[in-house]
Amino acid sequence: MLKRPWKRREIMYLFFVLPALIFFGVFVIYPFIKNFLITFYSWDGLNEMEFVGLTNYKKALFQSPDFWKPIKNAAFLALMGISIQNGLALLLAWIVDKELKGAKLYRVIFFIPPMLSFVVIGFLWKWILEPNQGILNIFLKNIGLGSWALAWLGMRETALPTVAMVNIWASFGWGFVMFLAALQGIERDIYEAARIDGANHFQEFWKITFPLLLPIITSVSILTILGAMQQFDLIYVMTGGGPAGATEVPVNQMYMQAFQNGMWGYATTLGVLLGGILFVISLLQLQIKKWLVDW
Amino acid sequence: MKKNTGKFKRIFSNLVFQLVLLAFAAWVIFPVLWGISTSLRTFEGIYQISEQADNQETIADPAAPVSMGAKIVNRIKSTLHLVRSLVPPSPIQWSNYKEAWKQGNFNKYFLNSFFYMVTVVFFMLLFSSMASYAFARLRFPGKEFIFYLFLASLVMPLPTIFITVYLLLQNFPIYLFVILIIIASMLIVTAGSFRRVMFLVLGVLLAAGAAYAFVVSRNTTDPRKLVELILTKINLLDTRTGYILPQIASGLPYTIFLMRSFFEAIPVDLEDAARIDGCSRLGIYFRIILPLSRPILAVTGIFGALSVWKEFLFAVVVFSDSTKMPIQAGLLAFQGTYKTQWNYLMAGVIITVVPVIIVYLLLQKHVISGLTAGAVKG
Repeated sequence: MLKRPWKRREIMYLFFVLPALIFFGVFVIYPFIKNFLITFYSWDGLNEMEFVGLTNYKKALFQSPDFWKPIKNAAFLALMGISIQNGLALLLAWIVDKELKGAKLYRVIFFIPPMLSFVVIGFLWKWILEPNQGILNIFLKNIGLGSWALAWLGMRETALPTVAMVNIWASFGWGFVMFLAALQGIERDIYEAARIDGANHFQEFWKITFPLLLPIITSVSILTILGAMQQFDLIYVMTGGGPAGATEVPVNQMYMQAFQNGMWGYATTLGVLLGGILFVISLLQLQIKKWLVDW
Repeated sequence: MKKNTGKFKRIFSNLVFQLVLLAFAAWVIFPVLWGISTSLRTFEGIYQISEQADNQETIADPAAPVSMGAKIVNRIKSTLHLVRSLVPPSPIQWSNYKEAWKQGNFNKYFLNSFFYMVTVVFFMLLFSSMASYAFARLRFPGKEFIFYLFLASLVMPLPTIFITVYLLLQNFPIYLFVILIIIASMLIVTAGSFRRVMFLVLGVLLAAGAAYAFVVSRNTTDPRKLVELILTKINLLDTRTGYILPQIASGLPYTIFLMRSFFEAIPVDLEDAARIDGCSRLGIYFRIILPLSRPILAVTGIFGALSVWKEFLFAVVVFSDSTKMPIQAGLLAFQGTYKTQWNYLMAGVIITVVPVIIVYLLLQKHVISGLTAGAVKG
């Protein structure tokens, strides 16, 4: 486009964007920059800030498990998310897309959990998983698997997988709806042609559906990872990060370092590092999309 | 012959598919149903099941040898019994809801959440629809840069910066408010005309000068005092304003993306016609674009409302005064008081779930199309 001086009218158009921009600048961009600046200080939130250079980063990355352990836990949630959760979402979307009887009802049901808040979901499942009165353990005892009736959220080995399971329950509906919408965009003729050629369900899925869905699978997977890495509510309600830090996640850890330990500089450092990881993951999405287009 | 086996296969696979769907639907719906069931029991009633199960356990596992078949029959019997006992025993305790509502202060929490929802969604829709209209249609300085700024926000999500937002709210400069108010009033008064903006700026400057003269003559001759006054910071923690403002900001980028692509699809001819008839840009926006964009407003509005309803992290960070908390944080406070009274807690949980489910069932199409609109396209 040719460069020409701005007309008065066009400068006035800035007013359309200004309210959004100011809000955004004050509550997102300014905190983002400030966040970054605080990481170089040691600060208890009350007294003078003390410049400490990269000490916070050194501590988070190399000296203390405060960063990597929660990241590992969140990565576990994310991994379960992209494998089991999205696999399940894809499977169910694929079946519902076949328009069997009651498909519409199932579509409504599978999207109920995403409508609920993580607080509600946390309480519902906490009650089911309760060690003594919880219905899961009662059921296990009843069918003779009494030895399997564990304190699901109270043991280091089981707490994280249990939370991951609840997270899957809570979030697979998002992927389900996305996949279903994408599936419904695929021409039926392709399936017909495949069926005439004698393809069975699985060939149909692997040879036709899956490749066509790859872009949306990538998007949903990245969103799943981003969501899991930022999980806080569910952990807060179900385990509070315990037992013994077994379900500690990054946001949870930040909250603790700032509001309980009063280490604001350190807490913001964890935030910046988490943001960096999320940034890399988002870049990855763009790159993968590019590859998919080329391919 | 061959045709027949094909038919069989199809019936068989359909059966398998139905079973899979049924199993997962049960898995999805069970926690909610179980919550409802628990919420309708007496406090003793919620322990009955486990006691019965323990009894079954002792009966089913005697030291004396029992034949395998009898054991299995026993198991099946007790499991059936268990399934039957999932239905709450009569008398059904509807009063739990009344009790939970009263003791959990749900009156207050519902009102709070409703208020937050309405204000956040209103401002979010207003600001983001204006901005996305400009991004879609208008040419103005810095357009690309500002748009990329919003785009970049997707990689600085609120959970990574909530600590600094907390600090900002703790020491919030009043002049930012003033700027916001001035801009809003300018927009409304001028409706996009340059001359009127100039008048307004002039007016504001005059008013400011008058106010300055007034303050100086009354209090002190020291202008430094005035600067101090302007730079005063207030604590927005534990206030409704402090909870609402960051949420408006955090909802903007996603809404802008959705709306921008929607506006781009509205035919330009409509606007041209209006412009020939002498309509200003802001007039076009209010009279033509907004009425046309009801579907996208509905969708983003529903999603905004839902996310405010579900919001928890900020509620925990901003509020320590439980009377202003939204419903999710209220639920948590409720749990503290009734640590083991699961029947009341579940009643509270179901109370917060019911409105969402009703709205979801009513607006199902909007909800799902809104979710997929952004994703499938992108």
